[in-house]
Amino acid sequence: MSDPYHQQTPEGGEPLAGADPVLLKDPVTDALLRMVMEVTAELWVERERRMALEDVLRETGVLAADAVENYAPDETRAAAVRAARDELINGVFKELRRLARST
Amino acid sequence: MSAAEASLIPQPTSRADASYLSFLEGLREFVLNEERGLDRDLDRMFAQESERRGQPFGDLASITAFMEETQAGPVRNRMLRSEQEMQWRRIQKTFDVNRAELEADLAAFDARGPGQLILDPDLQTPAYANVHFHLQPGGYHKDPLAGHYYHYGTKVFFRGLNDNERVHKGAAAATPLPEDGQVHRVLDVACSIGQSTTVLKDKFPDAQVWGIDHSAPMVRYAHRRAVLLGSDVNFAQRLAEDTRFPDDHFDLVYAMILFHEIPTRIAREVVAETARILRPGGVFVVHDFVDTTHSTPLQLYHRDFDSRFNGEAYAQEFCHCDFSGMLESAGLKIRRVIPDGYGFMNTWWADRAG
Repeated sequence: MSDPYHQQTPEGGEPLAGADPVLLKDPVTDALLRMVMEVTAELWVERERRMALEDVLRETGVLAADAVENYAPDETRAAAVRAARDELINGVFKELRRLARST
Repeated sequence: MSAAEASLIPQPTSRADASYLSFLEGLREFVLNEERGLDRDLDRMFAQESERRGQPFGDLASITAFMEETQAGPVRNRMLRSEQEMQWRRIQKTFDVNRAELEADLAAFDARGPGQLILDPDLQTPAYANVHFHLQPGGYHKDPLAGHYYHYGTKVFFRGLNDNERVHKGAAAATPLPEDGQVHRVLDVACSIGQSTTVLKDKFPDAQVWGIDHSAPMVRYAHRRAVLLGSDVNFAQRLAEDTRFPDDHFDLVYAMILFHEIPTRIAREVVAETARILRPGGVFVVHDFVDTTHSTPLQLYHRDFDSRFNGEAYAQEFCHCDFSGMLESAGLKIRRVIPDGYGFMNTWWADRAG
């Protein structure tokens, strides 16, 4: 066949344009957008599960309707939460610090 | 959808898989929704650029060049391509967990009624069908769970619009009768998982209804689904261009989104075969893509994108062929060509001379 689609996709069963085409000009940006999509999907998976969990806990009477919203940890627990927050931030953004150190 | 019909869609094996796939359905909506999606912004962008240039966009090359200059165009490509890849990876993963059970379940239904299933282990899959349509892993025929993948994949692809077979029901509801009103035998060609087939049986309950497809996994899945629905329809693993039915046999032949998935040379064979098996006065009903004459720049771009990056190997060929002319060349007379109103699909009603 002479048209470009058959040239790209011979009747041989391979996915078009290869299995993993880069579609943005900059491959790094291309990869970053894919990562954002995956991360957002996983964020939704976690959020949906937490919503379901809170619903189950409320419906079974384990939690009052506003229990999570009004939950105030004591100082020990609050410190542990802050430490977990900082660990996440440092883990995700450590590459930026590496860039800063190398310039 | 009703509980009975909902239970026919294979369920993801974890809550996480279900919500991941639901997210992808929403992401497609974010890009493609005609009223509030990214595509609406892109349509405006084309309109503004056209106004700035003082002329409408011309050929695909100029449309593509403009899209690739913009920031939003390549991002749209990346999102749509990645969404499809993410979808198939997750669908494959979630059903592979129960692969052995799902394959055994299919086998358990093969010999059950009310309808019959005819498989043909000697059927050679034509080379033209050896394509990863919409990037589905293994295409439509290589994986025994192709029907499962396809059912859940098209649920995501249609963004929920086909839940409860809404698209198939709507299309079949508008199916015309032959001019003499007689419908005793109906054929759904390239029926995949039989969604139109069972809907046609609902519409013509006294008719003998057949669905054929080249893919064994698809017709096995279609048969299982029909058995669970209690629908008395028959499925056979056969080619649309070689149905093996007698001359003058069917009152109505139906083809839902088949023709853009096959090369034009095969489309001509399918139309000729349909003209052979339709009885005089029978009607051929086709739902498929429009030609590109009246497409918007974004629709033209999207069709090309699908062909280059989304496993639509033959869609461009179909959109540029004269399908009405092809039907008439086979001796069928066009009764109506009905646009869907969105510029994507047409319905053809073509009669065999009585």
